[in-house]
Amino acid sequence: MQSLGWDVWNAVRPKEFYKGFLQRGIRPDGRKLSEYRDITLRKGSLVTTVDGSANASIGRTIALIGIQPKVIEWKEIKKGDARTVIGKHCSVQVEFPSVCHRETRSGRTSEEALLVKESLEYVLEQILEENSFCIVPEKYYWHLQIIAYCLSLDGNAIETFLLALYGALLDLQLPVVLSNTSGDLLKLDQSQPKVKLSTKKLEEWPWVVPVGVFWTSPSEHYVVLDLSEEEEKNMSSIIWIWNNQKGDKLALSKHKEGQLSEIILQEGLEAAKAHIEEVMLRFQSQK
Amino acid sequence: MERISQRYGPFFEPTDWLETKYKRERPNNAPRPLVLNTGTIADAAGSGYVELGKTKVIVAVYGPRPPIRARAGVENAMSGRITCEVVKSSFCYYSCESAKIPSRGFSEEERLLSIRLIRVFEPIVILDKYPKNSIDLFVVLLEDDGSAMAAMTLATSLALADASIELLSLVSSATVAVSTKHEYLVDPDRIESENAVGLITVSLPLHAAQLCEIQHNGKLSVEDWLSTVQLAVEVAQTIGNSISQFLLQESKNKETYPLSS
Repeated sequence: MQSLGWDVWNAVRPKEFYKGFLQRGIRPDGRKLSEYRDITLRKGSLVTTVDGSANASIGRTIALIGIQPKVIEWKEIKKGDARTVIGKHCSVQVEFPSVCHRETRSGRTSEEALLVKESLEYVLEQILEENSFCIVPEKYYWHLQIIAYCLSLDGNAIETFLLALYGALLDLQLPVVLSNTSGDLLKLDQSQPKVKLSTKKLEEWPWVVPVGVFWTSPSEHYVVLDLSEEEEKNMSSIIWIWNNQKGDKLALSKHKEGQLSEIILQEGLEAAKAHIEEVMLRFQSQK
Repeated sequence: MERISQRYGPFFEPTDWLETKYKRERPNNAPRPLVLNTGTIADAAGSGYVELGKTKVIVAVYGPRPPIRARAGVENAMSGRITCEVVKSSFCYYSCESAKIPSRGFSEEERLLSIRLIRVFEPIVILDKYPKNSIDLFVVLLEDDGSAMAAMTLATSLALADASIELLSLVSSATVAVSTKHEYLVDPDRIESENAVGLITVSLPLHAAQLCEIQHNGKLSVEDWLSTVQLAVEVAQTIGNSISQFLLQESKNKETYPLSS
């Protein structure tokens, strides 16, 4: 009897197909269960219109973020009812244009975009320091306009966006601005070099690791990191584990309907910790 | 460094208009350095990425697939259809005031660009081979530093070739601007385009003796027009040769991918 090709198995019974690989400790594209695809980060790719930008890719998922600082007046900040650093000094826009995936439709903000935006705002809240935005106290402040695009989607968008955000923040350089004698108008001081935005230390920067859990039977489960598009569909549940290098701040959020147990959480936490350590070390060595 | 005050906000003292000191660094008839890439978008049938100097465009081709928005009568159509959606990212807008608000659908400019792109490629793609199907082009203009339409056409050619869609020929495109001093500037950047008297973009299928599209902005005398178009056609021919060489190389490097991912 002829055996069917494996693409047929994948189409007809994707979970069985996937299970067969996991049981041997490997995934269909050859990676081990906690192995990441190629991570690349390119800072400063957009130079004409924004002051800080970065282009990050994990495997074939690509995210592009540009940060443009603007000057706003104190009364605009007071007008708004936001009390957090984010509301006052940053505005984040995340877009998933139709380019990235065959199922994204233009005109409607996708759910994934909203999730990513929320996560980026949460992260900025943790990283930025409020007093680094002041130009003239009670008059002029910096406002960062952060715009993010996903150019290609192949699973694990949130980590790619986070990577791009960190790259853009590290790339961002604010010009030195002086006010004239009456304090009304500002002037750019081009003789002085541009300064970087002051933020909290790198080891306190949070990182998220989406961990996928695949149940094969009530007693058997597999914990998988860095899910690609196909794998995300097969997972029973996906947990986003937030942590930083120091290990003192932890948050969890769950996506998809599967079950969780303490053992799974422990496994996920350990795998996530190892990965976060690796990523943060790479950042620190770059800086 | 130009228009610094507009970049950071309206509260700055007026400075000298730095653009009068702008000087073109390359010779008048040299196009900018070109970067080409295909296959960057995972899910698309084909994708192309072009950098013309600092202008960056990425194009994805999805299809041939059943049309998403089926209009009446499209089921009985015996030839395919091309649709196009252009997105100008917020990084194309220099001044902070005119930044784009993403939730309002497509702006007029984006719709105009999509219509133009369809006009270029409708005679080129052999639609009779794809009945009842639609070929969808999605374009993101990442950064606009002049000759955006030319970059978009080049990227779309690459993407269609990468998607193995049947074309009559590859299309290459070039822009030439006529400055106030009556110079012919090939592949102008944003400042040159804005200060030009006339701007002509030409789209040229490489294996035909005809042009598929000419786009003209500004005022030009007839002789100027003819010489600009001729110059643009020559430049487009050279750029087109680089594209075909690049695609040949890519096809040699392509191995059959394993079925896993």
